[in-house]
Amino acid sequence: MIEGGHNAAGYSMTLGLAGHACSLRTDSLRLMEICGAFFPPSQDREAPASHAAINLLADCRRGAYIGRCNFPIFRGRNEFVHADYGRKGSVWFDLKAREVTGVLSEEIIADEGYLRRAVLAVIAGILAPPLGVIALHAGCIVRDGRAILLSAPSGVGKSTLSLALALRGWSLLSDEWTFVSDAPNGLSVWGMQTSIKLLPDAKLFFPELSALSPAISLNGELSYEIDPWSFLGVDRAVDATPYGIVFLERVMESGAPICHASHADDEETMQALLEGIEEQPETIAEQNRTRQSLMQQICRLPALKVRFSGEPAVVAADMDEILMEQLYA
Amino acid sequence: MLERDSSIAQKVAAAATDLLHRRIPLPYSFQFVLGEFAVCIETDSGLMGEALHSFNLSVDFTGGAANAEWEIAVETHDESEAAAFQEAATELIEVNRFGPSCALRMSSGSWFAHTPPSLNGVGFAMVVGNECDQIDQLAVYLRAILSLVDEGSARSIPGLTLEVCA
Repeated sequence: MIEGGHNAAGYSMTLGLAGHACSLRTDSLRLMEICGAFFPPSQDREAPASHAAINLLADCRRGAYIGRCNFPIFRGRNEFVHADYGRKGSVWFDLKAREVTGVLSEEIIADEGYLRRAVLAVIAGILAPPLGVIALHAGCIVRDGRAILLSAPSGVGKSTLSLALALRGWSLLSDEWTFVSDAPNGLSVWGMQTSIKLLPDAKLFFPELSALSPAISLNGELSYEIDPWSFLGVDRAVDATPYGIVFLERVMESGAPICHASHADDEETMQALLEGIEEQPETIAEQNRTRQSLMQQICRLPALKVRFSGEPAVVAADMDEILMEQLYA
Repeated sequence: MLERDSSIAQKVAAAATDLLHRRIPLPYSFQFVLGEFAVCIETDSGLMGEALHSFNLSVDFTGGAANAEWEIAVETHDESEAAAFQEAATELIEVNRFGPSCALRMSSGSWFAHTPPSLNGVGFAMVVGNECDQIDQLAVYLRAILSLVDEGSARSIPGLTLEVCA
């Protein structure tokens, strides 16, 4: 149940972003409902007052408009960032004040899938650093409340393997971006309920995709975008405690599938994770120090390097065994 | 055996860490006074300095944003890139006000935000086309942002205006 309020200026409620409370003000009931589902409020009733403010307004001036593209253009100076959706809307970020203000067309608000993946996910990713939260370019699977991060560059098969493991009984927290925050009891990882992106050849391994057609995604790739929780019935995890990291490396070898694991040291872990992290301006220095401390904790997690090739289902079966033996034992 | 192309890996890493385009190289810097405000423009083209002179603005070339109240980045793109950035032949200006803050967005993708007290003025201008087009677009942008801060003038900007209750 979404709890919110209505005031003279519209609707308001408290959202949760990786465990941090954020106030939302909007003049659109639909926006409030979608935001409330996307950013589930923290269950911690003792959470402090809002750490950030998000103001999203519906702009009925902007009629249906077929713009130059669907993808936001980003430009920023220091702690100020602008996400430009053309005539469909604009979102401004003041990261020092931790304020987000957006004006969105009715067309964007009506397209819930686009709103989630192109607007709300962007807000989460840009607002996370000033809250002292790290957005890792990693998938995440969970079993018994304990999470394993799956890190790899784009195209290696991170999403496909995350999904294959979810079909083996793991809960899926995310396939591409995982938020890591510091909690009183240690690290926590959080996911977002956005569609999962699979490259066209995934149809070979997930026959259910035959019923769909791939389309151009946010980053320009041709891909399938599905809600794995509803489309494939996998279990969803909202948050968990991280227990380890797996660095994936796909090798192009013919023959029998392979899945070899070796331990990764702290230096390798740090280097691999840093490659995907957005550098922040010095003007949010306090939050940067928090993030550095967080990175050091992440790098102390047990880490494995896994080289693999072959069909996702077969690799997932081998990885399942490796994870249970080497990280869950 | 998987072979790594280190140059590609480096480019991917570099791109991944500036997704928000906050560190685009802008080697030219000009300071001047616009209305009552000290402005610093950082840009990728020396043409913008000539443009500012042509607007009868006293320009300081010693550069740097240290004493500027407004910081504006200006990206120039030639005619071959016009289709990628321009939405319409006519420049439309949208003004949005959120309490004490105000912002404008132009159909070229240029924008400016005035959000006291945390940020006085910050903006980004995209000027596209041949040299004359770029200079004209810069002039339109500077007029628009000055009018934005002067509330009375802002209401006379042709285009759309949205007033939002605080």
